[in-house]
Amino acid sequence: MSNRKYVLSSRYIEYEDACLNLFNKMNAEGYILKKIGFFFVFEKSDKKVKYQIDYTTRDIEYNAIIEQQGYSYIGSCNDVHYYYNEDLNALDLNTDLEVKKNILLKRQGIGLLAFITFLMVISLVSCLYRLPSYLENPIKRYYRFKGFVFCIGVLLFAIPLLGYSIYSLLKKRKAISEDAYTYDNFKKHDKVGGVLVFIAYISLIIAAALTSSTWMDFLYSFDIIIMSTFLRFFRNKFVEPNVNKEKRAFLNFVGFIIMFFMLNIFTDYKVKQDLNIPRNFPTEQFVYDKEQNYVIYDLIAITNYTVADTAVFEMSTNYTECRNEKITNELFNRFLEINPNKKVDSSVVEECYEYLDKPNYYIFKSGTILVRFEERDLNNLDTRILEFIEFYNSNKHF
Amino acid sequence: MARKEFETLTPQMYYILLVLHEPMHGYDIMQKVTEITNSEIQIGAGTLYTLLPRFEQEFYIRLVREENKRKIYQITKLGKEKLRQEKLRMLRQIQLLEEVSYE
Repeated sequence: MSNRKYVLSSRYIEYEDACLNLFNKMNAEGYILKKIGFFFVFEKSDKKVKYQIDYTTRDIEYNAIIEQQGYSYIGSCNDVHYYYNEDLNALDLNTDLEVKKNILLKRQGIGLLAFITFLMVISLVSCLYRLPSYLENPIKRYYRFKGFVFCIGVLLFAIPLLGYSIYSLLKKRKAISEDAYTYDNFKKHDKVGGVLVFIAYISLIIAAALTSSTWMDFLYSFDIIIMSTFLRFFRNKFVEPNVNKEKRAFLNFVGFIIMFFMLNIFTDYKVKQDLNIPRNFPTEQFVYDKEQNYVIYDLIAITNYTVADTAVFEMSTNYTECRNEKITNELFNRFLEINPNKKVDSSVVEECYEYLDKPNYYIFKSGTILVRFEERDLNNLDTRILEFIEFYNSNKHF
Repeated sequence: MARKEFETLTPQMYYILLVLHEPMHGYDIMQKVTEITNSEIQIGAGTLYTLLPRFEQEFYIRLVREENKRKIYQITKLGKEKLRQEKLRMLRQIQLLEEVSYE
């Protein structure tokens, strides 16, 4: 018979009564809790112990006192700490139910409620704002296929899930106040939530798979989730158990900054891999002027970029100057045709050059040249384009 | 609905503030409360160390000094006022009980 037993913790972890029941049951069967995490890990032992679940921040003074009382630390999860005591008659760590109630209420607090509501309103507004343009404009739907799919996904799954979270939080707050916050009372309720989360995750994975052309692209859809999980794991590995709230808050802040930079580096890396161009690129500018023989369009269209990329690619404009009318037409048809199966390979870019000090231009294998101007150039666009054409013609390396 | 925090004091809150008329650290508070109440009230370490920072935030107690990494607290004027209110509340309760008992 195995010396260890694993029990999935997610079912119980939120409810103190369920955890203690499980721990005591396992103890009666001759197992003692050794680790807390994704699983509760139990090890065979003859010891009979008393378990305590505690919310008090661990610091040197506190640890010393509870050790003096015979408590041994097992582990922590979400700022909840688990202890055992070999003295079955030891004094409980939390003796005042009123105080505990307040801690629980704070954990299911107004801050969290406000955050979820904010998230819901933001996603709802941004989806409702974008959806009409996706529905009306098939070209846009094609360019921003990923955005379109996620938009639908958010409306179908994320919004109901967030709504359910709000309902759930309010219900739990009420239960805490009425001393009815137990596993049994919320068993069914949590199951519904679990199913909703499961559906949302599956739909996210399906949406990412449908809209990604490469593995990198697929992973990139989950960048924030992957990064935050990693940082959380990293923080918990190094700052538990002796950490005070300020230090934790500071680490969270540092973690956020690191995440921000890592995401940018990741984006840079991906962009550099896909295309030999710097960041800060396109908008939805779309101008085609046959007489002047230049095309201006969105870079996203050319490179089949995803919605995640557009977020970092905002607020610049691209202009493409094309001398080959046949290719221009071909390219143009490619983007204008409402055909989502037509994808453009990022290998279209051949070289990139600097033009003057700032605006860069890129030569595509197709013969298309894409030029980036600064935003300030928008006022005298025509002059700038003529200037560029002049510069272009006078340069030998073309 | 739950009561507002510290609207009324629970016995444990009451005794913590009471013994802090003399400066002392956490462990001493626990011992002292057990002693003066003849073990009727015992304060768990978790409860105590959750309440101390909360009391400090509310200015019921203040940090006097730190000795060997142990924080020593003492009651403030505001804390004493809170105890006085609590006393009045309890006296009212006693008075009401007596009125009922005499009838």
